[in-house]
Amino acid sequence: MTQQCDRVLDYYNQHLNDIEKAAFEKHLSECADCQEMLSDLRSLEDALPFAAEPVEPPSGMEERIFAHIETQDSSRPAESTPMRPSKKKRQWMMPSVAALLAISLFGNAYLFTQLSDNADIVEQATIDQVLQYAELAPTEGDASGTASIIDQGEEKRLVVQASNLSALSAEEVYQVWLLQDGQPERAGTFVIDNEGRGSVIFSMNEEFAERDWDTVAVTLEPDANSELPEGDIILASEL
Amino acid sequence: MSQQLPDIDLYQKVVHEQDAAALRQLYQKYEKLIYSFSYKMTQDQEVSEEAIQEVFLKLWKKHAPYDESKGKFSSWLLTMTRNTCLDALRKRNRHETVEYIEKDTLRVTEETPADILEWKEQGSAIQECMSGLKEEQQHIVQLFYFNGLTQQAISKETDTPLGTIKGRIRLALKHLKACLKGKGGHEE
Repeated sequence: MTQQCDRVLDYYNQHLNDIEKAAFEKHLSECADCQEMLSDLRSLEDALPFAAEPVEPPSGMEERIFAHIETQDSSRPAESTPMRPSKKKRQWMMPSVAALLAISLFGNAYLFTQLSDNADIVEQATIDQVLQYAELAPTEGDASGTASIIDQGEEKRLVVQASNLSALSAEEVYQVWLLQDGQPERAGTFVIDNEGRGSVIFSMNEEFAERDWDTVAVTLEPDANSELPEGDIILASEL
Repeated sequence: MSQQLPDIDLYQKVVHEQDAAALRQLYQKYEKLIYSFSYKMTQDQEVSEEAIQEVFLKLWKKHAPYDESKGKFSSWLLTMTRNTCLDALRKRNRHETVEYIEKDTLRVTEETPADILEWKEQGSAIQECMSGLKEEQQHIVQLFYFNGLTQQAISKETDTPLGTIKGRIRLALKHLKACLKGKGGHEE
């Protein structure tokens, strides 16, 4: 039994952050005791929900839900994001991303996420508000950056700034991704100046603005057309 | 309702043909089960409805790929529902504790849709097994599985040392497993 074993319940109930989760999963692969605990739980998953007493759903729920689904359906992403082509890497495995991050971060005084709910910034005529702010952590090297989601009245924008980035060759670009539950969506593309600095401002459409993004990442892509991450992750943070 | 396609066929129609009618059939079949489950977890009508909306939106938008290697469709749907409710619970009360719900406060209904006969069958097995547990074990299963609390919160709620929570849950799970097996019910 190790300290990790004490995390099995919180792992099952999804209370661990990406770093803790990656560390636990590494432990899990080697710990028969934790594997048994989880397998006991999973074998009951088919039965336990049926212990719920039948409750009448609120009236009109079906209509409300389907009306909502239809609205969502008609609003497509603002950026020209065609339906996801089913090629190459369909799944971007967060655990491995997180594991990578964990390796680089554990020695790094855990600078991971800094959220600021109400940090006002003032800019010209409008008053913008930072909804979320995160320091981006490098997977290796000494790149650094920040990501902010800013509320500009009607619109939300994601602003990413990074520095100490490696030079790009030919058609390579840096690509920003927003992730929810391990599913990435494109959120801006940029190249860098001679000093290795780059920024991008990405306007979110309604669908993007409503989603509950949990991670932001920057990858180095072979060209500007990757619909799913193909290159290495350079910077990332939880949101 | 009797001539309904198997779940997997309906699911395929949803994702490959964007067949809204198929989505609705799945919804109607499982509405009451997943609502009751969500309600048991969140104990909140609005949060339950939002969670179910999110589950079906994910299905529709193909954000949640399913195939038969993941087990029965209904089990997968329930797992997805649980995860979505956990998310909602985490967001809503990161610092609050969830009150243990008393049975008689629920708006329990008697009728169960004919489609969900398995609910009746499985429901009675698991319910009997649950009531066979000691009261403190029932409480801890409720807090852990249905309310999705952290180990820390369960410890606080039950006034039990943190270090013993896992052992107690484990014991309760073993009892449940053995009991269900004895009833010839669910066993992987």
